[in-house]
Amino acid sequence: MDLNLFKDHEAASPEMWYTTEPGFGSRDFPDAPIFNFAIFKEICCCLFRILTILLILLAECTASAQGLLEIRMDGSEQDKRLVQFLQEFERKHAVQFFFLDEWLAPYTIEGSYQGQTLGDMLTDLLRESDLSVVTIHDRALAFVKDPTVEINRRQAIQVAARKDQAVETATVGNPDLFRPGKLVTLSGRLINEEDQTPITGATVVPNGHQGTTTDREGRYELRLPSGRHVLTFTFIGFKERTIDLTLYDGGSLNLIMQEAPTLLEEVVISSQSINELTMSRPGQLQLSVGAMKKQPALMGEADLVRQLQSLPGVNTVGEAAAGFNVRGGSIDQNLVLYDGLPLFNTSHALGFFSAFNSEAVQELSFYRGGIPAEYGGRVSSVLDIRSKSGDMEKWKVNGGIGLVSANLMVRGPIKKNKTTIAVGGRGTYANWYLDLLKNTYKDLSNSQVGFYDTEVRVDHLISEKSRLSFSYYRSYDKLRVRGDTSFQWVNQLASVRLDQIFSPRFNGSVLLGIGDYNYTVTDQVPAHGFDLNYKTTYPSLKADFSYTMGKHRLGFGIQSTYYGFQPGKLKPTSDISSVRNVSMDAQQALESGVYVSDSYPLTQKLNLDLGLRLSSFVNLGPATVNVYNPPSPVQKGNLVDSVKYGSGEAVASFGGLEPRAAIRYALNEQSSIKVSYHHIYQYLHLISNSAAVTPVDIWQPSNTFFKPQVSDQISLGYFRDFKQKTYEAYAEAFYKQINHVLDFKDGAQLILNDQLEADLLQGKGEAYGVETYISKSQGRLTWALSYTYSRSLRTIPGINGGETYASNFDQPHMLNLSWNYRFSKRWSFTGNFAYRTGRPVTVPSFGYTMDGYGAAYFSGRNQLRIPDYHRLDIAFVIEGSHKLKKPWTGSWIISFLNVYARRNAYSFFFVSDTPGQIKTYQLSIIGTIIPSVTYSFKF
Amino acid sequence: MMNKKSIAQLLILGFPLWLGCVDKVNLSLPSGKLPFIIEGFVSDQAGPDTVKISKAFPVDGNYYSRVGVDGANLTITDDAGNTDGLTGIGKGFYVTNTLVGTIGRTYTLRGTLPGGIGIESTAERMAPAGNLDSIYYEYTETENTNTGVLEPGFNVYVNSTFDPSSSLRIRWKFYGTYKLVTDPSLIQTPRPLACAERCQCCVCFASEFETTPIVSDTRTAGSTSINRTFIHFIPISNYTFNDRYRVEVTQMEISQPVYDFYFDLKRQIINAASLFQPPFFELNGNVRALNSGANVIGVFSAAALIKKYIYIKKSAVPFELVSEAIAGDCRSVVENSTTTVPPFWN
Repeated sequence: MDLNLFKDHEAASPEMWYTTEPGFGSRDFPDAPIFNFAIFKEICCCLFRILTILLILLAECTASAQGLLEIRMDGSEQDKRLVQFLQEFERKHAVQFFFLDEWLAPYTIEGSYQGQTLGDMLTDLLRESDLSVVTIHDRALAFVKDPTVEINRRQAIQVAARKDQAVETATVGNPDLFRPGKLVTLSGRLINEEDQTPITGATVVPNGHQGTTTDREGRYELRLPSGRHVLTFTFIGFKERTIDLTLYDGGSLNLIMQEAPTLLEEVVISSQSINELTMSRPGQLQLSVGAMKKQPALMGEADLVRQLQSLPGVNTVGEAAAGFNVRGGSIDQNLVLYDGLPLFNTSHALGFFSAFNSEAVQELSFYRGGIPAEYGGRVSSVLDIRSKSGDMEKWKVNGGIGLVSANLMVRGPIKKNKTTIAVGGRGTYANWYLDLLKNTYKDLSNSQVGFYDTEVRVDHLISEKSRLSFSYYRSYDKLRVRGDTSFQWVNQLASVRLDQIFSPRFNGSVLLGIGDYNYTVTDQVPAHGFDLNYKTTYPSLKADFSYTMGKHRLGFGIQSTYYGFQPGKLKPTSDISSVRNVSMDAQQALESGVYVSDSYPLTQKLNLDLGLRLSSFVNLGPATVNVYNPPSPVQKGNLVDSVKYGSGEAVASFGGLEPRAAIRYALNEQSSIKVSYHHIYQYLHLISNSAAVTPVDIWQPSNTFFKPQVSDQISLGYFRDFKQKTYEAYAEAFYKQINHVLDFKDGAQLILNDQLEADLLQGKGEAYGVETYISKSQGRLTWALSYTYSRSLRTIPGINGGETYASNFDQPHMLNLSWNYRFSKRWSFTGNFAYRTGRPVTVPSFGYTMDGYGAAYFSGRNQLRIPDYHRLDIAFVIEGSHKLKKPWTGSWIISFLNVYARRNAYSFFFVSDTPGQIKTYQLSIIGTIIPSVTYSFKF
Repeated sequence: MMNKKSIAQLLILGFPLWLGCVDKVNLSLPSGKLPFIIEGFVSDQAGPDTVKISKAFPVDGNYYSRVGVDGANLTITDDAGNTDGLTGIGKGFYVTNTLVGTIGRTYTLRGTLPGGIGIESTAERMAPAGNLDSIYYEYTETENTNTGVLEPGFNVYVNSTFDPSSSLRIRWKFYGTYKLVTDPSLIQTPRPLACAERCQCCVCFASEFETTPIVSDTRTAGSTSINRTFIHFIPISNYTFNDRYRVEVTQMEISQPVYDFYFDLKRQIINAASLFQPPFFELNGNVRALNSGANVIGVFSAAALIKKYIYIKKSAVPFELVSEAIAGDCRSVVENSTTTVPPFWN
């Protein structure tokens, strides 16, 4: 006996379901929108199951429940359709089968099961399907289908309908291979329509529950039962796509994603700046450039690094400090990549502005835990920045004008759909502001500042499977302090990259590039004029590959960078200069890494991202290495000899294995637990003896005296979303330990110090904390609130008497609240409130005189804290009309930083303005409210 | 009456005037035992040489109210075995009796402080002072960091040469003297000054010293000469150039630990107001306590001295000083001035 239910045809509106065949239900059933047929059908299915159970309860069990299933096959079943076989079997053995014809119609018994039992055969046929059997005493068998997938699918349709989204249809696979409920693999790629680049981190959700995210190549993969599904593809800044998919068999579904304009009738827009926390890789945050650009910014200049500092676990030592600190790490422990090459300086003007033109940035991936094996060399975090490429179809211009800077980005096709170019630039005219600065702080008065950065990118599609890209970036800063000393520093990167798709499962990229970072300090007074130079040049070669093998998404690659350092060259600039030539020995080093990784869904709920990296570092000659009198400590007075190394000779070698792990376990469709671990070596160290990075800090490679820093970090977090991802929240704890962390002896000198090893000490760093976050990402009002408790401690013999002390960036309590309220399609109000515990400082305990000079006696390092930091910034965003065909789009951002004029202390300093007395003062960099206006345009 | 345009301009352009802020703070610092401070110097000049012992003071204290420590037993010994027991003369001052510093000799300070704390310095070798070839000055205008006003004045420089064997760890000291003339008769309230009669307090001699240690930079100095070393800025005013200004510079070569102390002290004083907030650090000195747990900070130095002086005349001032009488007792108008004519004033 078979039961034929009506075959339902879904359309955009569930109200349009109707019957086509007689059976369970009625042909006369009207197309009445007042009756939900889906629910009715589900009720019927439930009643059927209940009836089945009742039959079981009422039936007299006269034989073993397994009797029917123990009947052995005689071989005649081969090549028969399952439905036909069951009907014959019924007649032959006087048994009964209950099933829906459409469930079993596609099945054919393709092999011989002679000698095997009916149960064995059915188990084999229905493996990986959503069908199961229920025995009814020993004479009947009912086929039962799990309705979960169907229920979820219909809910997803309803959600799309509520959002007024069009539901597209698609078909994948060969209908002849259709086995309802059989688990098959659906894969594909998401491509940006504008420039044909892959979209990383996009979310692919089947039937509204538990999905996946795209990888670096924009690829995704899902294991789904054959049948009907609704897939939702989302990524920040792009139009969401909903696909009503008929999945016959495994196959691929590639999609082109379009950027999302603000449609005329649409008011509700998600302003979430972090994408899909619950499903993202542990430790990874995919950041939205668009959302960041709408936040309040200093002097109207969108600052991506400063927005990063508002994330949980990320902080900075102050408003005039370059870089950022992640989970208790110093700023040199962050790997910042621009189109694959590392950057050494991430800010302009001593940290007031970031070194990245927001108009030139396509995407930002930020890892602060479970760092993937493809990255190495920095122990705390990775910020991977990809630049925008040109538009394949038409020319586009983006720009902005603010009070102190302006930027412009021009992108378009050199040859349509073949070759594109993107050129951007940003520069400042901030000197008028400094000229007006009235400040008793003499280092800022009468100073001058200038900076610019420029980006060029050319992409050429060699074929559908090959893309060649050229990228160039230059960042320049000049700062003159007090009129006679000027600082100038330059970052330059250039690279060529080839992306190749070898097959649907195998692709790779090769990158060849070179970077350069240098600074110059110039004293312009002829009598003691000098130029002090520092330079590092680093050519790099990287090859990365990705291969999909079944459920495994494998990654592997190799990287190598050669560093050449010129740590300090001093030369007089006039004949009467009292300065003599000094040149520190050049240093060379080769850093390499090879890695493998595997992203593997162990079960539907458990996803593993495992990796192993082997890194190595060789410090190369020519070099002269000081020898100190053993066993005395390394001190200037203990120098007894030196050893020379020839060119290319290994002076010191380091390396080791770096295991990485990122595990996500989905508790259910709304929540997950994430665990991550990484073990990383860092071979380059930023040598700085100030709390805030200065223009003359240098990068030092590991050598005979400076061992690599080694970090182990583990994190554990619970992630959850509510009300269909309207709210997202998480709590994550971490612990990090860093060995061989560097710090200076008291009074150390770093410039032109040929015995730097005598002024540096290595010890242990430790950081731990808990980060909590909750956000609302839909509706007129969207917001995000985060609170972090964390500590960052150092224990270094020789500093602070060997006792543990707080690092310069130890700020136990950090709170951040940001919001965006849309009054209308064009007007919105955004803001940010930040609170942080004051950072530690070292202050004098006593004063004394020595030969008539007043001196201060300092006790323990970092024993006191500056006052707590808190600041409120707001901005009003006025967007231009969002008509789709409008040629010119502009927006105004009117922002007010430090609304209640909080005088947040940046530093303490001590002066003797009253003879004989030392008084303490605090310097606030931004001590009043700062209004600014920026106009951004696009055409 | 300001129109809208000018108000807008003021609002847009004027707000940066108030951006950065400097505010005084009162720190709550932990209290602790104040350390002993030891300052000792032996030169090749006619004695006596002096060792001073005092106590440190709380940060919000006043370093002019130095508390001398009496009752210490101190000796200075040279490498020839000669020992001079110092004599305490009160207020923490101890002077040598027979010791005359000699170039090439090595001297060590030892002793016992009140409370039984033993101290000992490093052995300090007295090196030649080199040649102080010239002292010269240049007119300049420098911004006063407290008032923001440009001040006219003279920058004083020196050129020096040394033997090739010199370590070039050089320290200079500045001693400025000028004649101060006031009119005490201008003071009538609350009552006329008694010293106004017969001009008993209308002519004084005031002294100035360098405010931060002046030391060479061995990283950038030449091989046998150090030129154009900035010594001091002399502001030009009716006070300093009523008559002329005497500049005396003393030059000496010092040992590594003493050089490190003064170099670091200079950095400490400069860095205390630095934007980049470098970490502060302890200054070590070259005198240590022999008892564990005792806290002593000290610098003992043995150095030959060479001195040179010049007078900067009033006529060197490139503009006419406004003749304006200075009211008051000249002894109090400028701190530490005296009516006694210095013996070197001619």
